[in-house]
Amino acid sequence: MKKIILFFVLLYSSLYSDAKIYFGANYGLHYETFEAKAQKAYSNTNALGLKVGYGNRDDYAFEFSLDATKNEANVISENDSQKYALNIELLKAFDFDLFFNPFVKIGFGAGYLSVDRETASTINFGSFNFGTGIFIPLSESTDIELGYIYKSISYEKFNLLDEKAELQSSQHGAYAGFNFRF
Amino acid sequence: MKKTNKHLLGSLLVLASVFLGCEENTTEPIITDISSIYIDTNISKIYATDPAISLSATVIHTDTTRGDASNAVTWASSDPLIASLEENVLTGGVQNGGEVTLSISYEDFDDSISLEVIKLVDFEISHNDITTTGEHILEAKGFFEDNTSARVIAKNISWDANNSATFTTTDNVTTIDIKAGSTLLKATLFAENDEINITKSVLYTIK
Repeated sequence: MKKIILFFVLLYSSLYSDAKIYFGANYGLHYETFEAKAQKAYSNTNALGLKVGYGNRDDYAFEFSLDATKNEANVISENDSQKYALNIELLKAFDFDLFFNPFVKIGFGAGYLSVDRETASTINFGSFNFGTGIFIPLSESTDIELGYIYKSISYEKFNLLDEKAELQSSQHGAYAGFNFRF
Repeated sequence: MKKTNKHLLGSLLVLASVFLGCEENTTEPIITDISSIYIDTNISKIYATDPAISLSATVIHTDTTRGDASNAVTWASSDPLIASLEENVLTGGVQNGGEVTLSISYEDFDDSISLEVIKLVDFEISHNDITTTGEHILEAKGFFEDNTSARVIAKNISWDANNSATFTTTDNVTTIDIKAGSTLLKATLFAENDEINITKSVLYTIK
């Protein structure tokens, strides 16, 4: 218990030293592998992300992000459509005195995918997120972000009446973005 | 600096290899969907005093596979007084005979069948020959509107006696523990409905 408290005290003190609110936007390509029973499916996806964060470019930060994507493949229905996810992630960046600051981040997400199924128009999902990348500072308040994000996604079960079908996916994504810090 | 740049280059190569290994987009959904549901028990009539029977429902998926949907759909009877459904278990109602529609539904899917519940017109207590004390299985046989006779009554029957005889009912089989002396045994059909109930009695005298 003491270790947990100590961790959060250190995290808090780290977060609030020169911490800034920042906004960012990014665009990327996601590749998602779906698995249901013994079947697999694949989908490439263009992704647009918006986020707001609080923290340091070379230390800890919290990020809330909204992803909007559209699967190019029809995996869940004949007409899979927009997919939205809200994520919360803890980010740790490093300053190695280089022209960029590498970072890692970890967090969770939840969202829904619009589908055209007989008994459902949306399917909810939750995800575990892990990412890594670099911030390339352009000025005191702006930077470019290049990153990789992995998501392990679990979709809500599908009631087929004789069974509840499960669907999981692994999503790999590469993205480039721009952040503005206040 | 050089070492870090190598790490960065290595990371980009790993990332590139992930995307180079990508498969083509899938064209067909891998999660099948519901195409239709139907009641697959072939039944058009029951007798008003028959034991409960389990009905079954089937789902057909869009990939043509089928499965048991009996426990997933909602079952309903158009008139529970004539025939009642407790989930998928069908029994005659407290009203003696009639016609009903049995239906299943799930979201926008449904199916229905017509069911005739054949009216009981008379009955008799089968055991007139109890001569010893102790436990005896009771049985009554019915006569129905479609001229079917001597069909064992399993539902809508209640037993009573004018002394300390006790009754036990398990799986539609009623047992009486009869004592010495005179016992007036009464069987009443559709006891919950005063307008249609029928009562028969038998007197046993055991020394």
